[in-house]
Amino acid sequence: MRLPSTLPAPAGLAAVALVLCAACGEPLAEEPPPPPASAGTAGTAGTSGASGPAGSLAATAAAPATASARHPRLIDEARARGLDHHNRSGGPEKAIVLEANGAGVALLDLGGDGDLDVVFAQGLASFEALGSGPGADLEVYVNDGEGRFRRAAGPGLSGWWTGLATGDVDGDGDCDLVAGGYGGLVVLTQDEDGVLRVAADLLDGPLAAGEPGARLVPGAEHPPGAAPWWVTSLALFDADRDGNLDLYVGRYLELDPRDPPRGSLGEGALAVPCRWRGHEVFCGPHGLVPQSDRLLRGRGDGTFDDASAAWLPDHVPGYTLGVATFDFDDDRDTDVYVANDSVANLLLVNDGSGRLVDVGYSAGVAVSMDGAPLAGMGVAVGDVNRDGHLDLAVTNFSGEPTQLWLGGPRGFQDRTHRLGLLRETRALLSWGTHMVDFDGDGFLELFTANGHVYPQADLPDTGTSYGQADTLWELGAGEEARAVAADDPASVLAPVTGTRGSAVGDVDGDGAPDLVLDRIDGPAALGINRSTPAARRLVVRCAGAGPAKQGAGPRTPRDGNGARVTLLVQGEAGEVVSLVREVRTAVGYQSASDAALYFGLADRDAYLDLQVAWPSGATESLGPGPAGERLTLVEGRGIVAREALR
Amino acid sequence: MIAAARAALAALALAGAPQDPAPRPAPPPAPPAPAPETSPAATIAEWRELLELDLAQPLIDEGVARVSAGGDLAEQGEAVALVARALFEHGREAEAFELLDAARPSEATRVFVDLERARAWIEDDELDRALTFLLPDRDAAAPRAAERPESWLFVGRAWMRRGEPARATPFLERFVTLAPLHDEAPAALHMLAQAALRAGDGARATAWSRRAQELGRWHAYLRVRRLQVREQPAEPLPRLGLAQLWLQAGDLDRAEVELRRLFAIAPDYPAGWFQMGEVLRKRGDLAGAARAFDRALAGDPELFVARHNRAVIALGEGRLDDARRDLELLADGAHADDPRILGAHLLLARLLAAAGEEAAAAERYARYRELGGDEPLAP
Repeated sequence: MRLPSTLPAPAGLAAVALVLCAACGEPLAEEPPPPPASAGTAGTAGTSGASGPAGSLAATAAAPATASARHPRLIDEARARGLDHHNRSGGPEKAIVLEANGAGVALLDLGGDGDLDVVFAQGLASFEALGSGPGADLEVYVNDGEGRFRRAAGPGLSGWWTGLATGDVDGDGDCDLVAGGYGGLVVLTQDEDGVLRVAADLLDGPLAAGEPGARLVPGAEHPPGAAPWWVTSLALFDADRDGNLDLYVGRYLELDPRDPPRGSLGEGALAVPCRWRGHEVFCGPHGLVPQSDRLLRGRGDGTFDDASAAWLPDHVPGYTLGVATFDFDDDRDTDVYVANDSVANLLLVNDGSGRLVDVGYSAGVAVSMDGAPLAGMGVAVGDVNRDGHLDLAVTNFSGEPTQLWLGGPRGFQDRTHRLGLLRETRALLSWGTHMVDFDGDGFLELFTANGHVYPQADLPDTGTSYGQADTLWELGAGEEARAVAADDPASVLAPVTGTRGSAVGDVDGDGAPDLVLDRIDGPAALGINRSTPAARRLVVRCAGAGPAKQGAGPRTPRDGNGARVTLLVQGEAGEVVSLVREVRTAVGYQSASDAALYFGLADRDAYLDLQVAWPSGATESLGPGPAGERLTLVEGRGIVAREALR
Repeated sequence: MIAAARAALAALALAGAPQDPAPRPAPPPAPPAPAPETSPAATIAEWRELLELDLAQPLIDEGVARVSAGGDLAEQGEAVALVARALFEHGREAEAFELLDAARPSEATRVFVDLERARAWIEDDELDRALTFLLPDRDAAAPRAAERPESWLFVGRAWMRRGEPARATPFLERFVTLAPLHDEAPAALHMLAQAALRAGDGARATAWSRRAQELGRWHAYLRVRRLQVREQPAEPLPRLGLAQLWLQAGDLDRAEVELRRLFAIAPDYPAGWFQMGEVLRKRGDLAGAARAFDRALAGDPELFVARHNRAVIALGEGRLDDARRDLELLADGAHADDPRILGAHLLLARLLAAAGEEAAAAERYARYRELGGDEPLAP
């Protein structure tokens, strides 16, 4: 069922068009001449990719035009390493939309011991358990330094948890956590022992004043007819460049826990059944009321003020699912991309003071190329074609492509179809997504976590399936997406399940980025990077001067959020190649990745230069250096620590 | 006065849609199911609607056999194309291509199969293959099968997806000219807006974008109404909404078709007869419109919009007593303050003034001004 879209009013397009098209009258991007009639597709009709479930897509990948010499491999070692988390997300029939969206996962260093620990958001075994309780706690797994984990006590929360964000919210040098859920939004900071403690329950204060039903504790009384806050993806970033982290709160829709919609929406003669492909499914989001996102200004002590009125002045609520932060326009402040479910996505451009204005439609990243708003689940950011401009990928519903746009000096260029992503992803419903150089060859791969929302997807002729394998594509410089085969039964790409949240970070300390997956109603996966042959790598962690820096002007947060690092390396033809990364933890779906930056140098022994553009405006060029190291950079002090990678 | 009346009519017609203005009478018992339509044209029309509503399973279940060799619709190219599209959209892409390749449609309908193949290539990201077929001469101004609007759309879409908006623009413009209400017209308008943005023409982009959004909303409402009608075929209200949407779009014939179907369910449905009156009025059949409004009011004397429009028609035909009767009922009735009939107060004042009843005219005019009217008593 489709209801009218809520595309933003087009009134400001004229002005924005002038902003985006600095040299008006010229085409936005290069338009290469049409190629000769394709020889590779002549002959018999048929597709060049297989149809059917995602597992078969990966297994029958077309031979790449330029085969990579390196092979990305992510082997699931969760059980062997003690990561025995098992997600709960309602009943198997998925009768209510809350049960289908799953949870997120976060990677952060608890205790400051230099390794990455894991925190999983957790739901309940049934929707009815919201009324009966007890609620779920966050599940914490502590790393022993070698990538082996043991379960530690959680912070003692009680709820249905969904989204996680990480960052140093109190400026004390360690990494804190914000957890959101269906009826929950909590700030947790580390104590001196590295244990997460509740610093603020944001829905038990001014933020939700006048909304007695905003907070929901399973098993506790809840006002009848009141819809709790449904928090999805969260992002900690410094919106106003005061050195303190602010918080973007993505929210989904109004869902009454006592009387959720079932079967149809509307009443009487105007009722519309909740159907998909002719099958009865859970209702939503169409026809349900979206909740508006919020932007909270951090005070630097773990508390926040609601700055939404000033910083999101024209916000249109839109069933937010994915949020990612990045500097869209290279002006050193942090912008935000918001993936909305079934309505237009948002590209929120920061004016430098924290005020975010949507330019998504005019930038060409709000809807599909046909103007249709898509499902908008997760968001990935990276520089695919290594031109120094950040690119975007957004995951969507089955029947829709994972979209990929290349950033440029005058906006974005939709590369979805040129890469073949509609063909590759049509059968998939995708969530968490990342652009990461897993195999270390200097080019980014695209990962998507997959799995349908409707168990009815397994019925005949839906064109998709409920369980789906996760997928990884090599993108090269943005010519064509080449699926990576799951050639090992232990690969994270092998099982046909349902994955939602995902996070990237080096959990075993070898410098290669690993992948943690939260699988709905199932065990988590830990994809240890076993790419072959082993590549030379560089890992960079940034730390800013923080809000205490003297003088006026923008400041870099203590955890380096928003810093942009450019690594110059020698290209194959002797040219200088730029590898650009930004410090962020908000990427993917409802999850937080490690803030460290991962560079693959293939066989190179060294890099030519390491440049840092700090959000404060400062720029440092740190000169050449060897590959195979983990570096710590501090604003104004250069490289303060070096450690050889194992 | 007639010009003012016509202006009042126009405003009222727009305000009449899309919500049901009258209390709904109790639904009648469900009529007996109509005899199944079996003509190829009817089948094709039904399949087309099922595809548009994402209810395409019947096309797969029964359609494959009917359009394959030996099937009763094997020579109907459009039927073949629709079944192929259903297969493609339901993950059976290889079968869809096989069906298209094996098809032996009549010469007259071959174009549907060819275009469906091009559509499938585009959806399979085989953009160059589609362009080579549709536009053998890449610099040609018109595509193969130029008599079909879809051909222009597909070329435009393929160029857009290749990242060449300037080449897409003339084809997309031609498509929206040929088929302004096509269900893919919003997509084409959006692509035109994006192409205009890339060319730096913000004003044109805004215009295209606005049209895309308006038409997209209209199509979205249309889709919901069609689903509601399918879900509850014996309910008149969704069918009334469908008729109103076609009336809004200016397609009087399709509006009338839906209204006739509504009357088969509920012969005396007042809101339906009001809309029928609007259809007839826009066709120029004022006598027929007046009779339709009579019928609406017979079923619901409080249906003030019908009374208003009947009064205006009576005025235009010189039946001043009839007009005055209706206008007085409106001006003194329960809906006298409704802004949609503000003009009725002015018309009544002018009619009274023309009849020499100055005091009454002044009183009515004063009331008109109280309600916010700002036109002069003397036209």
